Amino acid sequence: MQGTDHTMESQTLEIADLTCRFGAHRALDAVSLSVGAGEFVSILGPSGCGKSTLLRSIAGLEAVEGGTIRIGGQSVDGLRPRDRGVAFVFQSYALYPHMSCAENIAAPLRMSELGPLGRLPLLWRLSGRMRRTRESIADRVGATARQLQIEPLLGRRPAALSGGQRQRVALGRALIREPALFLLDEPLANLDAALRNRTRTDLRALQRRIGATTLFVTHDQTEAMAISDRIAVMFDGRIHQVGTPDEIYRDPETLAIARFFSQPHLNVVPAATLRRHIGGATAAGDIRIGGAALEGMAGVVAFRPEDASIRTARRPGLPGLPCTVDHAEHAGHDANLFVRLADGETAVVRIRSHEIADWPQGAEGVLHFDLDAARRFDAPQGEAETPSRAREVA
Amino acid sequence: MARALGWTLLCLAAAVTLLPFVYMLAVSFAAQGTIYSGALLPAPSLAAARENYAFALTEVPLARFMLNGALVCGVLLVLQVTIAAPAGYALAKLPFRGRPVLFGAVIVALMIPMQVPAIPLYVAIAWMGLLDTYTALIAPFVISALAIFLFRQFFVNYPSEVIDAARLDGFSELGIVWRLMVPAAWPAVAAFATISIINHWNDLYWPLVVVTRTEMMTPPMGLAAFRSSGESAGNVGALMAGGVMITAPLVLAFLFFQRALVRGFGMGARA
Repeated sequence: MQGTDHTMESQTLEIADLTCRFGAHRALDAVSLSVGAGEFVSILGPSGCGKSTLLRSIAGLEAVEGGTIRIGGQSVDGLRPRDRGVAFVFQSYALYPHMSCAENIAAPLRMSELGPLGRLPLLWRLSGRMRRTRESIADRVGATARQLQIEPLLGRRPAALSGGQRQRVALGRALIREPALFLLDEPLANLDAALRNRTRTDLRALQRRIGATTLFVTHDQTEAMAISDRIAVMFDGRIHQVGTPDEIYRDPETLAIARFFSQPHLNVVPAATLRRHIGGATAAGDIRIGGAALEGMAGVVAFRPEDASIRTARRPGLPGLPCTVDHAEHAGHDANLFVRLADGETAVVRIRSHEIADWPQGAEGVLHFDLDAARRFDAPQGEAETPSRAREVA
Repeated sequence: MARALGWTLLCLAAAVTLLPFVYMLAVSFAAQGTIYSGALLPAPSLAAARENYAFALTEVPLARFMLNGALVCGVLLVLQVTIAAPAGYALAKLPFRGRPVLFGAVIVALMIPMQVPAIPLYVAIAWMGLLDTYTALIAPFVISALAIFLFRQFFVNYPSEVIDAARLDGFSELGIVWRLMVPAAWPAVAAFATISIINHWNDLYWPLVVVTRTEMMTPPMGLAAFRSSGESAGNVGALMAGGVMITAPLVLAFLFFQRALVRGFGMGARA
């Protein structure tokens, strides 16, 4: 890890109005995104939202219909993938199956620095220049392998490696090119849970050390929040919100984003229901949610189970909703208590797991929630709970 | 019980298939007088074997025929693979307008027997003055629909992400074909090589159409000429010795490629 580290000249990435269509389906719908030099940005969304297509478009692997991509201020539209100066790590790692790990890692350098003659066996020995190039490639493969701690694996074929080892080899193949931009397409998805968490930390540490601008695609919001400088949330081929993990977690712009960042549960109660049943010393007119008065509010109010609490009796001076306990789910330190509100909606309250016994099925209680943490959203219409529809309603 | 029956049937089929070869070998080792003695297999004799093989080799240029066969099959195979591998890659992995139609055309081409285009091909070759040349023997078969089909079926299963990775790493499209796809598809290459070599080594029809000079003849054609040539008429032992000699390379090649052949077709069929 001494002087052998790759350090890259960080480059900015600017995407403007990128559109990509598969038949009638818009995989990317006017996507715009700016990434600063050395920044680590996650693209987060459910499967099929177009996040992989976005990454592939930046790499030049997907033909786009419109829009521009600039890397380091230079437009790369129309450039071949190899000329864009980007490195890609695929979810399946995409190693060359019949080559050893050393050959896999060396492949980008062999293709760019050796001519067709230099790649032939034996012939390269005749030329001093070719020999020196080959030696320099071998040195850099060794340095990259040291950096990733995969030196003992260099002679093996990918088939003889574990998932984590393959992932490192794939990372090495990307790293050795010293690219302007790293594109990582769910590189952790095929690892088991324990390894995934460790690799996540390693990956971010590596990225900080080499300072490469990185775009990281994932469907896992905890992964995105843990690793990113900023997150771009994508649904249906469009970026819906860009912000730091904290901004998006605290202030999701749409109900869909709120749901995505509150897995597995988010409580969503219509404002009208809330108005009807909320009781307390204060009148409904004095209750404010997300800076707006509940009186006359339309749409729905959402709050997380961890921002809710349940008591046997209303706390004086605080608004609360009467509810009936349905069942509890043990989750280690905490537990999720499922309750039914007066109008039949289900809500979830986070309690300590030792409190489960206090809340048998059918018990009556009052649900309080943190009014400052709650957010108001436009009501989803019927099955149209997609944020794009919700936006149209707005 | 069913297993035993299966074994018996397989053994019977194997025996029926092998018997002509065994008989050919036995007759090539036998003296002229003992062949029609009525025994199931004529008794071999070293002197008779030497005489039969020497006669076959000296009466006609059998070595030349075999050289011709090897040259035609070898050059043909190289050209067929050179053309079919990129074609199969394009049909399997490159989306382009008209690809389904083109692939359909390949399948249709598979079903057209050689005899159909024989006359126009002959006319064209004669018009170019290429009768009695290696070109006449090779050129009509250089584009093999079977090879394109086989490679396409094999390449379709190759992971597309690896191809994308190769494009990012700077491989050209042809580099992808020759450095990634073909090495991964060697069972298909071996399977096709076996079929192609057997077909063209054994082909009697096309050489009869375009070749008349003895020194351009391929093994089966040479053998046919040998059978009908004046002096050897009736010399069954020598004829069989010639048969053994031109069959041997194929049998050896098959034994060599056997495993790959089975794998190649097995995987091709699954796709």
